[in-house]
Amino acid sequence: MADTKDMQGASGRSTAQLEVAGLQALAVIPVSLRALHETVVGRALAAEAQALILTGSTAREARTPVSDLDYHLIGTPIETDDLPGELDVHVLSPANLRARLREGDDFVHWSLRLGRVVFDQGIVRETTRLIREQRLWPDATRKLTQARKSVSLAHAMVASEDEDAALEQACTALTLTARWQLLEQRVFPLSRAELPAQLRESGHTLLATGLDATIRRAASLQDLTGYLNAAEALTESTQEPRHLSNSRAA
Amino acid sequence: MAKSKAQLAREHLERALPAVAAGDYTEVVAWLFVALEAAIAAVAARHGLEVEPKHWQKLDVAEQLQAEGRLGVDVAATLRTLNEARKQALYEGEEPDLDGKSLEDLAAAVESAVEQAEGAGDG
Repeated sequence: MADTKDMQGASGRSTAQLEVAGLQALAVIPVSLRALHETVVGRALAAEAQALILTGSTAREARTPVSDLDYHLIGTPIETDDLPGELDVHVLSPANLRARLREGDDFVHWSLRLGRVVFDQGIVRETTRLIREQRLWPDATRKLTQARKSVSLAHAMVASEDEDAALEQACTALTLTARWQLLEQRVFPLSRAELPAQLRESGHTLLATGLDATIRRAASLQDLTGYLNAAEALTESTQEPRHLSNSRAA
Repeated sequence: MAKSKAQLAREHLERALPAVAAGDYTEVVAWLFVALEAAIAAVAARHGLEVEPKHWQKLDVAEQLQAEGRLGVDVAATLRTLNEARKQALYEGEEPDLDGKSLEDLAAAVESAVEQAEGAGDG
């Protein structure tokens, strides 16, 4: 599993290793976004943040045409309103980071397992150790609830005949369904662009095709209905989902 | 015949309003967000501006239209708030941060933009 490798990579690092980690994070950022990255790093350091993690598709070198530049910042908020709208900085205090990890928040798990550490005063090492030692895993039930709601909304947006809105919401719904299904199967979901391949490996071909089509914005309203019906059938067939919050890996 | 963006904006807004009354924040922010994007697209088309699929590019268009006095002063800020709120509600299942605004405030701001879109037509 990729997450195990990445967890080891984020733990027990020396200062020199952390400097290397920061350079590694910079290396995966498109040239057009590097100045923005440096601004974020500068502001995070000035705010004495505990850690900054590059997360999302950029960290995986799997950006799509609609990808943002996402970070998890552990510390206090920094000013971002004057920066480009594609920047998304998710701020958590160290206490909130620990709490969310234990609650099974999959986004926090994602950043700690697959994100690229820009700098870390120790909180990333501590929490990745927690994941490893307590074998924490994201809560699939939370994802199922979100997937069901999102599929319902996507169906309504398809019915509205707004192709732009329907494509966006269907992409969200299929992404959430994919993440839930993979977590249930004890497969850690990668970035959105990588999910179709993971779904195919797990036997969910139609869901994979649908997600791929919505990422590429290449699906008609009729196509979307078919993909959403498949997602709905999958999520609704699970009457009493296994609660995996903080459960220990088999 | 395809619906106009202004018509879609109005229909999305009308879907959001019962959810405002019910306090269903996920429904509210999801529908208000697409209503506002459709309203911005309608006004942009009227003025010959191309709207890209990325949300942050739509924000740029909204800021431009706002600076030119073609959209209300709070449209870009409302779009930014709704985009973040939508992601929090849909992806994280959390009650979203509305930047100190109420669901009613956001609905009123979107309704104002929808009215401007209806006035502008679809170009």
